[in-house]
Amino acid sequence: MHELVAAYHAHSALLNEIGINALLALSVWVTLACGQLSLGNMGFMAIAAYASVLLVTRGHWPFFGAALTGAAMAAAAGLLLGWPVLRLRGVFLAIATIGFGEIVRIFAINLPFTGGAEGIAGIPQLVTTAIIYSSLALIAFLLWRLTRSRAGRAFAAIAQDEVAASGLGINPAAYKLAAFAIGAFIAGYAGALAAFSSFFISPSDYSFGRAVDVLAFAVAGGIGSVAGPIAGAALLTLLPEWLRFLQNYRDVVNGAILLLVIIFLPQGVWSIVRRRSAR
Amino acid sequence: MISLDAVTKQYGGVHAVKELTLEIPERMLFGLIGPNGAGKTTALNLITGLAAPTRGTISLDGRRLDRRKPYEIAALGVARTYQTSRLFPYMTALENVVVGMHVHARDSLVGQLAGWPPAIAQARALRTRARELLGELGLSERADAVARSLAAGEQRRVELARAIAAQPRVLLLDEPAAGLNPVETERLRDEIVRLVRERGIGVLLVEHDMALVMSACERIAVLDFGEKIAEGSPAQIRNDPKVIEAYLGVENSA
Repeated sequence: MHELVAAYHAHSALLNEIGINALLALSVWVTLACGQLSLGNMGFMAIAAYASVLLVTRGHWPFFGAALTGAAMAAAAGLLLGWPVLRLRGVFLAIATIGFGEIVRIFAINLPFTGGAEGIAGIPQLVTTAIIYSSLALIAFLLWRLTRSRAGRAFAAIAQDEVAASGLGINPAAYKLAAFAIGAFIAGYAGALAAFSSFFISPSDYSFGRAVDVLAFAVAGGIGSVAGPIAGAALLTLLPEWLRFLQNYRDVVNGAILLLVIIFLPQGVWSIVRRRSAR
Repeated sequence: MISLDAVTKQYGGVHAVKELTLEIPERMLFGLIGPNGAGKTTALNLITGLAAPTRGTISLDGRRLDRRKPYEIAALGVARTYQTSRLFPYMTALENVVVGMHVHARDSLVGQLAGWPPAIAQARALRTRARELLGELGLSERADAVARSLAAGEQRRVELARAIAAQPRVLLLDEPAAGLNPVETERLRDEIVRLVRERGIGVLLVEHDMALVMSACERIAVLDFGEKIAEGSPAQIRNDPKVIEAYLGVENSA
């Protein structure tokens, strides 16, 4: 028992990171489930992180009120961004959303109240591992239920054949916007959790590189189910830790493993587990 | 029920459909035939909103369909199948049919999210109905097969089941017999005829297979180069000199 407690204290930061990365992976998964490749999630994460930190430190709001308000602001931004870019498909949508993420980051550097490139320091540690994992459990449960609902079926139909879907009375624009807003909300909430589990936030936390990492979590884990992105986030967050002994070659091996997963397990790592349990 | 009034669709200088006027009454099996490139599929795309007419109006029971979005037209009761199957490839046959019920499936989202038993029971009822529908089309054993793994003939029948699941008032079939063998075609014919008789669905059948159209349809319109050149009963069409010249004449001489 003492070993467990000691292990928790030694690794709680890593544990928190896995949970937050899993939420981010789910946020990109929601839009993928509706057939949209969005890489703007760092922008949503940043909006909610800055908003919730400012609400708590300056406005003295309680944490959950601030986090949910920040996430709602991110969802509103998602709707605003979703409206004009809905017509774009595939890689064009991805580029437009990358642009959005960069715009948010540049605003974060230049706005008078975001602390510039140095960001905001001295954020109170209000988020515990328990909060992160109970949030993850709740959101994963809701998303799993969503996949079983009428809306979830519409998401999958749009992803697989938009023309056939609209021929069955499904309004693609409405569902895509909903997917955008849900993804933005989850990314935003994850941003608030991340901000309050570290001491400071800065614009470099929300770089394009991280958006790609998050996409890799979802793809490596498998986008066929809710469990896939969570498994992918856990694996690809732990992997660099395990590969620490490789020092400078770490990223190379990390990338190679990701490639191997994409080539040999196109349905993601989680498909191994599913195949086992199906037997 | 469905009326097209002087509908024209122009692509640049080409008239895909020209001044087409059609009236498809309720509960009728209506055939639309014509040589390749006559504008049959364009006519279907105009009705379902995939293309907008350049001129003319399309209405369902007096309600204008042109200028509406495809999903709105579908919700008003117009369903269709496609020339090449457009099943959702990674869903099972059953899931495809359940998606077909989208407009009428009102399982509550909040109930589903919370895992509330009545909402789950509703979703299960949809699956039961979808399974029955597949059974009626002889697909019971293939219900849980992934759509893209199905044979071409099976895919067509699943697509038909999906369209029926939408409980349409009118069903547009775009060359449903293409690629089917004579036995499968015969069976398809019986299924379409049953649709009209038992479910009261109006059917617009676009087809190349003359034998199928002649034996199944009560009324037939013939398109050639985007224009309607004849309309009437199968017997009238068979004896129409214009039709023989444009279409049947080629077949007879071959």
